[in-house]
Amino acid sequence: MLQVNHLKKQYGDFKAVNDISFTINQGEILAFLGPNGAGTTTTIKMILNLIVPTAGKVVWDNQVLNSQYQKILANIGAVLEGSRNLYWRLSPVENFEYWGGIRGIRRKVAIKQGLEYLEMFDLLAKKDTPVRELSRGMQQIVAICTSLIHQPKLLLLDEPTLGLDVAASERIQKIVRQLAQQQNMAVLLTTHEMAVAQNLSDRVVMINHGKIVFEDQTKIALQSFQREIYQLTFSHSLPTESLQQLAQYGQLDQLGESSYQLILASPTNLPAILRVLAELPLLSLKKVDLNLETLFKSVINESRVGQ
Amino acid sequence: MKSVFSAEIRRILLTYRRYPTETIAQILIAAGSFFALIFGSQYIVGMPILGNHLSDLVVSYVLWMLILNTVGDNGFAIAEEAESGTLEQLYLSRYSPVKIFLVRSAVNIIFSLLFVLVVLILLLLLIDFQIKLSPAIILRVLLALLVAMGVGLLVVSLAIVFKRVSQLLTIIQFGFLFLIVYPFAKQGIFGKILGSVLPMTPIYHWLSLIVQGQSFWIQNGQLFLISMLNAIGWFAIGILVYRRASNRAQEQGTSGHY
Ligand SMILES: Nc1ncnc2c1ncn2[C@@H]1O[C@H](COP(=O)(O)OP(=O)(O)OP(=O)(O)O)[C@@H](O)[C@H]1O
Ligand SMILES: [Mg+2]
Repeated sequence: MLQVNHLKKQYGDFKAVNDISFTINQGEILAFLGPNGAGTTTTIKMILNLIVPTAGKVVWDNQVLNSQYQKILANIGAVLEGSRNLYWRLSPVENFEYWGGIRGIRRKVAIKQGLEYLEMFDLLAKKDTPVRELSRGMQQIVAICTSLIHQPKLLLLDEPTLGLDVAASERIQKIVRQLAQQQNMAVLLTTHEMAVAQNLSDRVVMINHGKIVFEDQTKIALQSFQREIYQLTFSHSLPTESLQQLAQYGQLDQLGESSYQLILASPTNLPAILRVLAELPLLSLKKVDLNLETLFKSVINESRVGQ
Repeated sequence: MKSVFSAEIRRILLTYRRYPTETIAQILIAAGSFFALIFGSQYIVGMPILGNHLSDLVVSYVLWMLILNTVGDNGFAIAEEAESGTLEQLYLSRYSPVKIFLVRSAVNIIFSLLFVLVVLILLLLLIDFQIKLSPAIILRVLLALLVAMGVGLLVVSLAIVFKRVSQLLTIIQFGFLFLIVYPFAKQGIFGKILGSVLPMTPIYHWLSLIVQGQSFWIQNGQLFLISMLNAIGWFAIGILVYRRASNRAQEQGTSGHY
């Protein structure tokens, strides 16, 4: 449905986004991940034509978009990060009316559509409360409802759970899942919370320094990342010699002063490692559950090493 | 575009109703501006406001309120939206932003004229003074609206590029007060040229002649032409500058609240 081809954005000499390509399909939730400053927001804004790319194209249903950008905006809804996406002085219903008007939707249709989403997301009771009096989580839900009143096929969410407590974050996640499953909507979301990405996404794209460093189906990524990870804590930090010994068996990262994380190159290394550890002042040895967080860290780490 | 227009009207009405103190403040400002203008023009022109000058004054008043609103209220609102982020959502419409901004300023102007009308009616009741609303006057006011829309887009451009522009807008408002009441026509050739090209000044000059009872096609054919050019010119400048500002923000990635 949406295809992003070799997008680049350069500010002076600085390459904020450096040749990013991916696609997103109907009904799919794509987690677009990267450490701070990686270029996720810039990419989203290029999709929305809020930022003009230095190079590359955005393709919608096999149509390259240049001059007729306004046309695809009718198919996209977006809730941007760190910015107000609504008029805080108006109630949810009034926001539906207003933003519906701005997007060329008839008033009645906009209200009906918005109220349906409010109901679906259990927030109907607040339909007439000015947005400024709602909690952050509720504001975010209303912003999502408002971004949907023109019934877009693609929803872009930039850090939708930022600053929300666990309960509110879970509500947003449930909403995203509902939209993809029940309405067959494509959702592209960015987040720094790997647990959220892991829960929600069908596919992940990870970027660092404006470049894609990893891309796969979320499930497959987790399955095929078949490396065992151990967290090692010692009574004091290790001499270089011992570190080198351990590093033979995998990727070793220092976590704290005397704690390390070892990603085993192969599970068969474990006995050898245990023999090395027997000689060291080991306090604890913990197997780390494989999750998107560790995958992300290891991918970002490797991409740094590769620089 | 009709939906944008009615959405905008509804939003403004709602805001007036929900924040009555601000609405009252706006009416007071509309009334207060009239007196500011009396004192201001006395100070600048150095003439007491009597007789014919009162018609001048009423005309100046209407035009100045127009500017106060497009540069002031509308400008402040847009600057605030550029800072808070709703402006970006406006860019996500399937209508082009320039059309949306034009509709917005048109709606704003309509409301400000309503406020002015209320004040004027009160005033006319108080001081037994009459203006005949001829087609000639209405044509001028329409030209002035065109200038105001152009200036409105210039203000939007400022807000997009510089974000925090509230202080600057206040200064610009008073700059316009000067432009409107300063008698350029009496200042020799250089003054005449300035009086023709500065936003709204020829229209104001022309308007005040008519209000004073001069017929307009014959004596003021030249002024008619200049006023038309002035209106179309400032409208076009508004659109061109806005396009550049908007492209610049898209190039530099500053459409958001950086
Ligand atoms: N208008 C701009 N001019 C110059 N540099 C910019 C501009 N906008 C962003 N950048 C830089 O480009 C890089 C990518 O910015 P972007 O906002 O896309 O990051 P991000 O991935 O969204 O990060 P975060 O997760 O912290 O929001 C950052 O280093 C940022 O400082
Ligand atoms: Mg960001």
